[in-house]
Amino acid sequence: MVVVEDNPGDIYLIRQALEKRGIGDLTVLQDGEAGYIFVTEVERGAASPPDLFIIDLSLPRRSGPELLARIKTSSAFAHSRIIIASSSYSSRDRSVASRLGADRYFVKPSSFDQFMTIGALAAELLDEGSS
Amino acid sequence: MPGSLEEQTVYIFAPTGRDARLIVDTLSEADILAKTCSSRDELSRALQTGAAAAIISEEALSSQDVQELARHLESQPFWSDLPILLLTFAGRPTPQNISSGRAAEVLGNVTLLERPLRPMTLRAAVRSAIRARMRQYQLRRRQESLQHAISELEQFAYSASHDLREPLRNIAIFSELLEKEHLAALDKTGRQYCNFVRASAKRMETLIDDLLAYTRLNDDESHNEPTTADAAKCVEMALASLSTAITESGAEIEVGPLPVVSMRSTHLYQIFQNLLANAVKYRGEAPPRIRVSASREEGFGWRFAVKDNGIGISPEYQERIFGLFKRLHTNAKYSGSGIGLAICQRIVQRSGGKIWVESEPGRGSTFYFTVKHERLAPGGRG
Repeated sequence: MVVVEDNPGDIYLIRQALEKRGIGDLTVLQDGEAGYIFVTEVERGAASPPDLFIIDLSLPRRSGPELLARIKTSSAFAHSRIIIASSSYSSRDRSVASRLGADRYFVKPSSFDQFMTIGALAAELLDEGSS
Repeated sequence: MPGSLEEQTVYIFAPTGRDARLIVDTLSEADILAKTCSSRDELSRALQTGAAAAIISEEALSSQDVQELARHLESQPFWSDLPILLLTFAGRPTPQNISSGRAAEVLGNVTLLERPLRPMTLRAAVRSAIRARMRQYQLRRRQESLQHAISELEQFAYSASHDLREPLRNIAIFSELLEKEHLAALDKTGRQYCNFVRASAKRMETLIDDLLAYTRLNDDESHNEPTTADAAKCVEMALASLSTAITESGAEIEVGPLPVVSMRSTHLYQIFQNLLANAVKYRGEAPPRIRVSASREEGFGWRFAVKDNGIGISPEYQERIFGLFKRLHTNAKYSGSGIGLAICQRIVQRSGGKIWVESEPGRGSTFYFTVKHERLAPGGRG
């Protein structure tokens, strides 16, 4: 699992949501540039591709859509699933994410219980991937 | 000087090359950029890339040419009204004279110049046409920079609203967790602080949502939503969205016969939703009595009214309430973001109407707004 997210609060919440689903092996990258470097490492064989990315839409240095496009052009990630997470419920942002090939778009809610549903979303994508 | 080189050039279309060359020479002596066109196609192409003015001699124009040119001129952007100087022959009526008369009618910004023409007359007429054209370019530049500023401002409001939402979510969630998981560790004051944080976060969220709704009014323009709205349906939907508040307040609502008007139904719904929500919210001691009605506004269209028996508004505030973030009450007494009426005003004004209130403190308010008749009435006017 790779989470690309710059907001410490959201990192905490995503970690909680995934732990509740028994998903523990988490790499956290704090900006889009770190995401780019990670992608290059995987392409060189220095790291293995994750089963699932959770990528924030608005990241420092390189944006979520930029990183998403980069991942999608690389054959190394053919089996990685991608969730784009964002505070924005604008249809424009949502359609950009799906056009670039994100598997899911998650609007980060403002209540704890609702935020935890990202765990179910992740589990569902991981199940699809393994079956 | 505004405009490209082409846009500063006068194009001349005269069938005999000699006439055209003479005109070019006359204008060049006065430092006016001039070029000849040897065919109508060449003229059309030149006008497409931009031109300061066109000089056309009447014998060059068949009636088909006139039609073609008129079509081209009709598709000009709003700032553009290309000056055309039409050279005619004085005196005897000829078939050309007749088509010139017609050309003068359909080609818009046409000046007729009778031959024989003195160079001085020609230069003065062309200079005047160029001056007018330069004004048009200025108008275009203003329009472009205005459009640019507006879209930047909207983009700014939009992004700012989204970026504000991000930290806010965390404030809401972590104060929620603090209350949920650490309640025992907090004393009474601590819990109260927590409550303040959560209530403020909630309120800020409403503000941001409403602000987004306000900025998004522009996005809607491009959508292919039908532009006629059944007011009765919009009111019905608005009442449904307010059903809890209506039941709790014991409001009685009377809806008169309402027309179909030319406006996006989401917009008309938003107006009624805001006005009715206010009518229920700003109630006095008695349960709200609200009446929605419409009447014809002579020569304009329809005038809608939403009348209540609520607390009313003092005269000095009656205009101010339509401004963005303008509120008259503390949030504890009547909650709100101060955006609802601003949204209503923006929608109404954009469709060419007016919105206002008539009210007396303690004696209720009536909000009025007008909607223009559609020019064509495919959906009927109800």
